[in-house]
Amino acid sequence: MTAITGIVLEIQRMSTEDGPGIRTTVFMKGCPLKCIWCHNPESIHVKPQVQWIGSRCIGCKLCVTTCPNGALSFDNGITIDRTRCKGCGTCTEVCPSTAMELLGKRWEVNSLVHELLKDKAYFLTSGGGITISGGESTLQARFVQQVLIQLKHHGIHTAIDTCGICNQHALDMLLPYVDCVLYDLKEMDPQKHIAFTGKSNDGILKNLRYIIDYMNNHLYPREVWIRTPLIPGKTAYDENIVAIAHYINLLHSKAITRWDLCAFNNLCKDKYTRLGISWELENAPLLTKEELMHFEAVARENVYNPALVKTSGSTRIEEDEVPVAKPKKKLGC
Amino acid sequence: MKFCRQWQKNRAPKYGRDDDYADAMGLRIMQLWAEESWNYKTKSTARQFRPGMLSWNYWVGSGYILPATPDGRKKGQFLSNAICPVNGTDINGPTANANSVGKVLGGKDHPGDFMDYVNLLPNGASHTITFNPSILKDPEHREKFKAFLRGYAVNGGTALQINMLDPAMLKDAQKHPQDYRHLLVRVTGYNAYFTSIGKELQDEVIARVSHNKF
Repeated sequence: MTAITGIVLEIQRMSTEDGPGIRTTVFMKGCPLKCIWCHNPESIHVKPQVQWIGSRCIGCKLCVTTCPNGALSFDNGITIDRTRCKGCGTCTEVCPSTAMELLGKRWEVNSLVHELLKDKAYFLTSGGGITISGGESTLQARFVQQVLIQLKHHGIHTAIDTCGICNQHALDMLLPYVDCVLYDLKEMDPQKHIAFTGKSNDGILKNLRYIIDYMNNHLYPREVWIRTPLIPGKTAYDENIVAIAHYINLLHSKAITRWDLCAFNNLCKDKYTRLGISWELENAPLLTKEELMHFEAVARENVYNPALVKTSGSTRIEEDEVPVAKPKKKLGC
Repeated sequence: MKFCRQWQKNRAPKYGRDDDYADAMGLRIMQLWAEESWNYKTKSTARQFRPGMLSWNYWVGSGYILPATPDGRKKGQFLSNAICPVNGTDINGPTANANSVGKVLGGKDHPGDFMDYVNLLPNGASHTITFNPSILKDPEHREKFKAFLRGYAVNGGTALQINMLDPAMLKDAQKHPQDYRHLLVRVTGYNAYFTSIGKELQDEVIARVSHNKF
């Protein structure tokens, strides 16, 4: 039997935004949705992809000459012919300055677990652990299950971050080894959900109910965090927030311990450029502070337990804000 | 030659990334010079020399004297500051950076009595890490930051100095991206390396830090 492998986009250590405590987040490759606001567009495709980071390039053209598929050309910068590139990563192996980067690396279970355990001390001091995110964590369920089992052997707190699009068999495989499920409820209107993400939210709502039912009969998972991205002009409108609140009320489960409202950010703009994709939200403004506070208030008013609601993310910088000069302190040593 | 230097700088295993191979080499060097230091006494007062890693400001000045080094550093570029990894190499975040430091100080992976914390460098090893101020934005994150400090001690670190990102540093990072590859900009569920985002967004981040809005 060959060892099970999985394709991992990135391992993010000391993540403070993906669950309780200090966490190491594993971003898996591949996602069934195509949300127009996606922050990690490089995670959508299942297969490894190559990208060129111009600021690191020294113009040696080694990649152009070694590419077995002739997919690269140099003309004041590297151009990647996406139709020819097979994502083999030969160019990233020869690139001396890491300007050619392979998005997605194949890992074996044991070596990944070894890597993830390196921050165990911090997990213990903070109540943190490992979050499997993505992409979509359930898409490579066989691999993720093996990783989770091993982490549980080491007594590590585990979480998965899922968009909810998966079959129930995948959930059955993962749930027994997960402490916390981070579950996305992005948009309640099925038509809009299709328009924003490419798929209806039917399966997502069904799977959430399934997880809650599952938790009534099993020890794991211990809790569910609902996450809602607040995208200006898309998911960020009162009706949607109210509808999600009502759905949470309907489930009325102690299992749901938190509802995160995540404000839109545009820092991923350059990722789209590097992948050669145009991005609809490129120039979309961030939420203002008042808007974010408004949605937080709407959520608090409508959900059965206002303490569930938390907000995160950046808001717009207003023109008239005057920077406050801080006294500078100098420290020795 | 250009390829060779780039390879050494970018592709070789580096101390500061929690890379077992690189850290094992670091530990060997540390043991060697720590043992050697114990063989000497000051000439005037016959007091014992104790090994420690406190480079004050000399890591900047000495960079102009020391010729190019096999880690890809050119003559004139800074050395590493005390026990810190070379600027820009700790691309796996603060915990990886701290773990590397813990390993070369003698290695330790469990909480213990105070004697357990005496390591190769009894004279101290000063370590500076820079954080994004968003780590202190609310009580939940402040707790996480405290937990980081406790974990730092558990993993064998002895003297940590903490910097918070300031606009001047970010502006310098725009000018010298090669020294700041480790600099993370953190927002909800998403991190980006400061040097890999475009100028326009970098300016926004600078404005954000200047306004204390993150």
